[in-house]
Amino acid sequence: MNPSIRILIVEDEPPIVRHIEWCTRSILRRDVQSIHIVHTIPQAIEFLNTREFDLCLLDLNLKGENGFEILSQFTGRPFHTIIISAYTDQAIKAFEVGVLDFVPKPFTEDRLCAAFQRYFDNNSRSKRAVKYLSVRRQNKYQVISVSDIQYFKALGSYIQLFLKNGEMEFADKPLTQLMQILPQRFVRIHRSYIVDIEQIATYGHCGGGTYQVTLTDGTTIPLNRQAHKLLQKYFRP
Amino acid sequence: MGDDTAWADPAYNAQEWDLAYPRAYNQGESGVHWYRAKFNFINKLNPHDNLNLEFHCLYSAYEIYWDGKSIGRNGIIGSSKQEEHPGKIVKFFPIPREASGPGTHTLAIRYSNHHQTRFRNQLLILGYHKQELLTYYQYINKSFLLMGIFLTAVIVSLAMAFSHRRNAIYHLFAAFCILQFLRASITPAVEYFNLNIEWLNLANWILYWMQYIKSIFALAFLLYHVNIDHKYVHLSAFGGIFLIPFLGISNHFFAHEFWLWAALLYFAIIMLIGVIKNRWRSGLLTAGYVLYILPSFCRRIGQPLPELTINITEILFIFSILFLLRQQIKQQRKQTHETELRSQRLEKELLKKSIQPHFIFNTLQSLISWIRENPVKAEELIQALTEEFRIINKIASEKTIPVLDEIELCQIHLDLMQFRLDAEYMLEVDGVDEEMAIPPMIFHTLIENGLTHAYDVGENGTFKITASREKASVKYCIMNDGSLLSSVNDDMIMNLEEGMGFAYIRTRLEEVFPSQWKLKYGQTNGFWEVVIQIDS
Repeated sequence: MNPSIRILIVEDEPPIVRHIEWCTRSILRRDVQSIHIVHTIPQAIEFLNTREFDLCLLDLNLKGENGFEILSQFTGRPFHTIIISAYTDQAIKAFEVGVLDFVPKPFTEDRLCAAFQRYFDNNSRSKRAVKYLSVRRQNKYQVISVSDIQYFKALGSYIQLFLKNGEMEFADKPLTQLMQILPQRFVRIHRSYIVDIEQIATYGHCGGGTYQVTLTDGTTIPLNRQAHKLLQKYFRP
Repeated sequence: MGDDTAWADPAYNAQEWDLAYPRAYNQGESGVHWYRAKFNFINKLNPHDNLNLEFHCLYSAYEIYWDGKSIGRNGIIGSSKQEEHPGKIVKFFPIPREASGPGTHTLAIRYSNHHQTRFRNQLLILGYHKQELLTYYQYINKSFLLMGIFLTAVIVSLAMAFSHRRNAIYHLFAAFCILQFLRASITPAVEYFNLNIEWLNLANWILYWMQYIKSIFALAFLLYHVNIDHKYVHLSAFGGIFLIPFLGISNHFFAHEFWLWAALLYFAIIMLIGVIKNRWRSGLLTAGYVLYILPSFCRRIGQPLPELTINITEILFIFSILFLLRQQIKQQRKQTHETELRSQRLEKELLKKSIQPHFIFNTLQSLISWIRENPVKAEELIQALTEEFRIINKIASEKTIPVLDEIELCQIHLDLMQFRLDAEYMLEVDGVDEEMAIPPMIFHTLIENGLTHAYDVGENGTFKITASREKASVKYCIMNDGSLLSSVNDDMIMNLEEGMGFAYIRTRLEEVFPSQWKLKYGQTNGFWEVVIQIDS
């Protein structure tokens, strides 16, 4: 049983709105807790600032505007974004900014269903991973390159990002959601940690049934048992 | 005297026959006259050749006596013009061998000159026959060579004029080349066919005036070539100034030299203006025209150029102009090519506009929704889409289409968009007649803009297109009553322009009505209005 989700649909053409809603309900049935609809990007942003929800179905090009510039404001938040758009040539860039999926218009129910499945499958990894993550600096979203990140640490309602150059940033997306869009080299080694496996120097038992990982710069991070097995498989040729 | 071959030298001739020259030019010389000269032969006669007297004009009718004996005549001498029969232009008189030995000999000429000629190369040569013939034919050959070169120029310029029939400049240049060719060929032709001296007078008269006409054509060509205004004013002024010395009346007003200088300077000034105006080709242009006026200039300052040099400057001038004209043709062709490319690009843009992903895919998505909700409406949507594509296909490659067709397209588009946006849109049209024509998809672009930017989701609206004729222009107003554009300030307008396809509209208008159109937009009485004005 999937948890029930709250959905935001951002689309300006009424017949298409109706169809997306109809398809969504037809696919998710009782898993839908709520569906809200807005017609413009400004309305959507106001909604995100005031309400919580889990999934956004977004058309990038409303009213002829290019929603791309503010897309990272969506993908930085603690919900997943699925783009439903006619501009297929923007798909790659959309993935690089961290959307969960890109559904080209006109879509079939099957295709939309596949996108929803990615949402619900916590273990799904992105075929085209995010390159630029939104981080929060003084209440504004800015974008950093994923290749600068060493590891993530969950801290209650937000996430800390530790960069290779020693700096630290904050993000709002939960680790589970991040895992679904990060490149394959990022591994969830602990309930509260995601690490770039290429940054690992050594790993091992540190006594009392606990394990830890040492990064190339000397930082140590806790490791859980399953992840330890995973690392063993990975590092042994 | 000297060696035989020296006698064939025209330069020698000039010294000996000083007296003869002025006489030939003497006006009003009538009656019958005699001329005598003595020669002292030192050497024995060459056994393989004979001596010859070669006459080029000099007198219109004469009888030759060598050592008292008659050795020939040219024409029939008369004491008045009517009695005289003019002879041939060139005649050779062989001197009998027995009268060519060493010793003193007397030459006597009895002549009358009522059909006087103004022939440039007036010569009397005493020399060996073969040598004289050789020199004579060398001269003829040189003339034909020049004629050949000028004839080539004529053919090339005629070919150019033929392929650019509408352009005056090529015709003028062809005329100039023809005149140049005639000038180079009349005298040799007359000599070659050895006609009567009377023909020479005619030829000289033609040549005289041809010099004048050639200059007129040269100036006309220059005016067109460097694109100076008031061409006829300049041509008349120059023609008048240059005519005075030609008519021989210049001594009544100032002096002969004054008018010739005036004409030369006039030409030079026009040339200078032209060179300054056409900076990009001024190098060759200056060189060419300087060559053209060089002979005249040298004559004015008292240092006339030798004939050969003059011919060379003429040839160089013609070929530099031919080169310049060819450059012009190349450039024109490049421009045409660029225009064609731009046309093709615009057509491609139009087609791309009409099948943009946003349009097609969203329409298809909408269609899917309607199929499920209301199949009847879905079918209507398909019909509207088909119709829109049919019209676009019809107009895509045209530069202009009837305004009525554009309006039909807009109506269909609104019908279609009603399905997409689930709202009602009316189109009101006023003042459009069948003759009005504009580039394709201009109103369509504006209507698209209106639908995208002016109306809220679900808001109904009215579009109006009105056309009016005012004096020499047509004005089109395209308005909508959308609520979103009713409070637009200048900053927003700058941003809007970019996304509104105005670049397409401007390029299209400029292509068909270069510099004859105006476009304005703004708020008027609650309507968002775009006004396009086209001058006819």
